[in-house]
Order: sequence, then C-alpha cells, then structure tokens
Amino acid sequence: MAINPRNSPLTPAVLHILLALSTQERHGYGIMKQVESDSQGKVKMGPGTLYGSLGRMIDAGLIRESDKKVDPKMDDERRVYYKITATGQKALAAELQRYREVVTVARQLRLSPTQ
Amino acid sequence: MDSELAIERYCRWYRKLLRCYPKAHRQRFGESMEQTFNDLCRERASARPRLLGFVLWLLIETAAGILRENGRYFVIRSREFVRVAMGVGLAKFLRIVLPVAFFAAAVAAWVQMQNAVAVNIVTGVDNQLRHLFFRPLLPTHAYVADVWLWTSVACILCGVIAVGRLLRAAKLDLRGK
Repeated sequence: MAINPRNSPLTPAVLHILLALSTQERHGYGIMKQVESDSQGKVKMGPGTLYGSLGRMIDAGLIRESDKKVDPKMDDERRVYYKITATGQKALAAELQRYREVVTVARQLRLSPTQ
Repeated sequence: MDSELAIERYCRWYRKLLRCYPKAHRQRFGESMEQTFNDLCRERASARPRLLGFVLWLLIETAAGILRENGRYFVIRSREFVRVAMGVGLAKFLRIVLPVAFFAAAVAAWVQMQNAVAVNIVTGVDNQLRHLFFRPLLPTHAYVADVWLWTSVACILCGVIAVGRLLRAAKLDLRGK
C-alpha cells in the first residue's frame, strides 16, 4: 500500500514517526518514546500501530532499516534501527508545509490567534 | 521478583498473540515487537507495581493491529490472485487463439495462391506477384481471402504483443518482489 502518493496527507502516526526519525536513527521503542515526548504525552502509540506503520512506510520508501548497532543504554545488539530516507524527508517537508497553509487559512478566518 | 515473573508471563501471552499476524509481518517485525513489549513492561514496572491494565491496553492495541494487517494482506493476496488468474487465463486463451490464427493464415495464403494460379491461367500473366498490382483482374473471393489473410496476420501480431507485455509485466512483478 503506497503512503503519500502525490503528496496526499499523511496519517498522524506516520507524521509522528517521521518527525521522531528526522533528527536521528531510532529503534522501535526509541520511536515510541520520542513520539510520546514530542507530543507531550498526548500521542501514545502501541507496538501494533507502530510496527504496522513502519512496515507500510518501508514499503513506500519513506524510511529504511539502518545498520544494526548496539544502543549503549539498552545493551542489545538485536535491535533494528530505522532511518528516514530522502523521500521521507520530502514527504515530511510537504506535510509540514500543508499544515502551515492550513494554519494560515485558519488565521485569515480568525479561527486561530495571530502571532 | 513478582514483577519479573509477571512480565515473563505477559511476554508469553504477547508471543502467542503475535502468532495471529500474517506470516510475512511476523517474520519481519515479530522479534522487534516482542522486544518492544518487553521494554515497555519493564519501564512501566519500574514506575508502577501493577501492570495488568497497561498490558491489557497493549494486547488490545496489538489485536487491532492484527486485524488491520490481516485485512491489508488479504487485499494484497486477492489482487495477486486476480492478476495471476488473469495471466493464466490469457495464456490459456492465447494457446487456443494462436494455433487457430496460424491455421487461418495458412489457409488464406493457400487460397491466395490458388487465386493467383487461376488468374495466371485466365489472363496468361505468369508473374504471380503481378496480381497484387492488377487487382481488377482478381475475382471477388480473392479480396475476401486478402481480408482473411491480413486479419490473421493482425491476430498473430496482437497475440505476440500481448504475450510480450504479459512476460514483461511478470518480470517487473518478480523484480518488485
């Protein structure tokens, strides 16, 4: 299943995962923690949603598996790390631009306070 | 110690639940999911002694994921099945059409030759190729034979193109996998 063909909106889970991976490579648990931290605890992603989204994102070329390496905190070399691809970065940038445009329209309609 | 035992028990439950995922998904992410579940339980246990509510949420969330993934894989498998069925159907169809088309072309060519010979006898024109340029000399059924011949040739060309496209699609499909 293709995610984001022709820059269609991303699902919230995909957007949060891309945001979490935009700064550094992370493993599944690391992504979960980062998403929780980025959303200030408002978005809680379980393993079912996370790995389903990861599978679709890999298929769509938004992310890819990175070389396996040991997390010094976790001390486990079986962990699979994921990293964002160039396509993923473009999709994230396009989605953030879309959000900016939505906010601009909302401000014009006085639905959102101006800065 | 109690929480360790509880976590082990919950991990066993989770491992059993993961068996409900489609095989491809399980092979791809099963180990990582189990490990993530283990991490989440340990993190939670260090903050709160009671885990059951949290574990139930994780199990339900994973069960929802199982339904989604099974649905997705069902759709993918159905599409593959339809594509393969169409390919096999087309191949079987062409296996019938191609020999018929070849046979028709051969018959048409034979009829054409017979006409050319007849024209040679009637008109005394001994060059068989000349009947292509002196069509008014040909009887009506020779035109019918012409149409028959070129239709057959077109059929054969279409068949060859269709087989080529089918093979190319199958090759691309294999590369994609």
